[in-house]
Amino acid sequence: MPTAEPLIKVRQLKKYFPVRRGLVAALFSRGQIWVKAVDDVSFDIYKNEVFVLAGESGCGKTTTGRLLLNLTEPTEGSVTYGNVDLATISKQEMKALRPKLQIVFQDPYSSLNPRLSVFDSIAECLEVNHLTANREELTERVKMAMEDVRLIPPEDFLYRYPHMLSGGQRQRVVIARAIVSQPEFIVADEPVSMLDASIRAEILDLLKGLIKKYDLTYLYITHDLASARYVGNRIAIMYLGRIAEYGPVGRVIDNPKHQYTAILVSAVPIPDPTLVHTRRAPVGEVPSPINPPAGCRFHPRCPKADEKCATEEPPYEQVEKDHFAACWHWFDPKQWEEEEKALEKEKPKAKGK
Amino acid sequence: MPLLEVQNLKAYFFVEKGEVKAVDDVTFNLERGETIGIAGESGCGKSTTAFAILNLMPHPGKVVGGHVLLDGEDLVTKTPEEMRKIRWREISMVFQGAMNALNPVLRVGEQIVEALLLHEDITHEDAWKKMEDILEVVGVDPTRATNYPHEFSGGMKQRVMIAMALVTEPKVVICDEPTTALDVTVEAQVLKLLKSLQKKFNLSVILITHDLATIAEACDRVAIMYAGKIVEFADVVAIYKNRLHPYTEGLIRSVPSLLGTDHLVSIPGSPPGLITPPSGCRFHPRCPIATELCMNQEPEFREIKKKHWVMCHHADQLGTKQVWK
Repeated sequence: MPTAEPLIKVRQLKKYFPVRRGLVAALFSRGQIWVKAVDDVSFDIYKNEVFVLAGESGCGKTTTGRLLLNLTEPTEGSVTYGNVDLATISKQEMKALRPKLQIVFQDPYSSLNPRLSVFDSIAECLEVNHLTANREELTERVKMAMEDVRLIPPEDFLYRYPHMLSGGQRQRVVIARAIVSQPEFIVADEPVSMLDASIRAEILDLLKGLIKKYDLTYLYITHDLASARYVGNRIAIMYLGRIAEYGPVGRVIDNPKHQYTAILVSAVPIPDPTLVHTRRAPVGEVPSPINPPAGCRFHPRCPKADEKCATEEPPYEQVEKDHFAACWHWFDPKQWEEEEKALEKEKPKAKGK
Repeated sequence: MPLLEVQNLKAYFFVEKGEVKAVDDVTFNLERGETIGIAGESGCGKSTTAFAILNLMPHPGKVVGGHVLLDGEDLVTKTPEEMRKIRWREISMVFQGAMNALNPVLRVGEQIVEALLLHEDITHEDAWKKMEDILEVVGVDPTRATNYPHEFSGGMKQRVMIAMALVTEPKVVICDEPTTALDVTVEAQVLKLLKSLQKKFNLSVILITHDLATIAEACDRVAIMYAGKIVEFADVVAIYKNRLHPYTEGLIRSVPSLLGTDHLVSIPGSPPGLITPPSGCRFHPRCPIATELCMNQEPEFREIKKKHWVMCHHADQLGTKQVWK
């Protein structure tokens, strides 16, 4: 469980990507246009916790994950790991730090080199960083990692190639590759979204189980709030490059305060047909991150938006302990009750008996 | 009489190594105005079932047996010419992956008009009008009919795909993973749309998806497929609350719920290859209650309770009891 001093501190992090334009467009317009993928994001990740970044596609969650690992350079802001500021350290220092910071990608079908055997894929990180003294130790470490991800017995898998493995087994290889260097922090970017339901549970349990054994901390990036709740401790909901709401995962989902979070949570289907609930969706579509709306970014789609929302950016306010939301009009479940009642009348036959 | 009856349908792929029995003796029916879900893991034959119903099996696949009765008429025995008339006019499909299912070099409106011109005796002008109406219905601004697919977002493309499937006013629409690549908020919009259209046109819908939460939200009845067979087919509430097949239970309990889940079931192993599927019950190598009988004898797909079909020797023991740890 979280301890006092955060392992990772993220402060006012921004990442803007330049938009490429044709020569003519560039000549006749002023200034560079930017995609504001991540725009002023701050949070802490504590040791041994699973911090979830959730949101819809294009909200900037993957870019944030990459920034945390220094895989892309931030436009502004800082990421501090322990007491090292990742932006200011030298390449050598970063290289020495790399084995401590790892990533598990979304798609195990494209994140493994098809020409490397399982052994080579996993061993690469140790070899490149000279983390083992000799071949025996290398093999030993690789086998240990494979046992920890339950590719058992390792001998059966060592010399197989990715095409000889199932989706679940590939993702295990990807996880083994991430843990073999004994990392402290892993970014898991949608690690189960490409897998079948029956395999997802195994992989999620595996990731959870490794926390104790390896003394790990995760950033878990997902669009799936149900799996977020299953693995996560704290969650941050992102919308258009900014965090709308953050806090303990159960409390944010059960008691959302940002209007966006409330709608997002209601939109998630629930695997229980006896439960009658209304799935909501914000009107229209996510605006372009090139010119994000002023004020609260959600205001053009928000049912409660007023003038203030369009001009002034809402600050983060505390909902309860550790739970913060940036919204001028906190969500109140009563807001929807009237609507629900009207709907019930309209639809007298509930599902089932 | 049900609107659509699929009886003992078999669709195989003929490849070098042998026959891939992708759909092997599948039986279910669809009533007017209802939505049934077909759920299962990838490779279980969900999409192939859809293609087989439409008689659209891609090479080297073929429907090798069984019947597909639409209003009593068998689609399996139709000639390609006859089938072309039935497709879209009677039964249409929303294909998987709206992102790639539209032609990138044709204007969106033109693609919908094309379906009309092919299947109805109608002038281009009237077809265009009809297309604009249907775009309006699915919530796309008709003035955008002259746009190309790349100018649309994923959700909009999916709406266009639905418009295309509905423009000819079919009785049955098969939706193959209509929301898989979409965000939940967009998914909610699309499914809501589908529901309202269903009411409006008294449509029957077959919803194919691997997402059990979506099934629970959207379907009246559910067929669970495993390795080319339907292992259980029942009312959605029965499937979630009184399932009688161990696979159904494992599958449902492997899905975390937004409301919180303490423990998820994981089914060991992976689905079998379908060239030489396991003997007896195809699920027996992964089943926690498999016995010798399961290994040797294929269970019958039987109606164990009224409107509750199951294919398991031990179905009588299940129900509310849990077989998975």
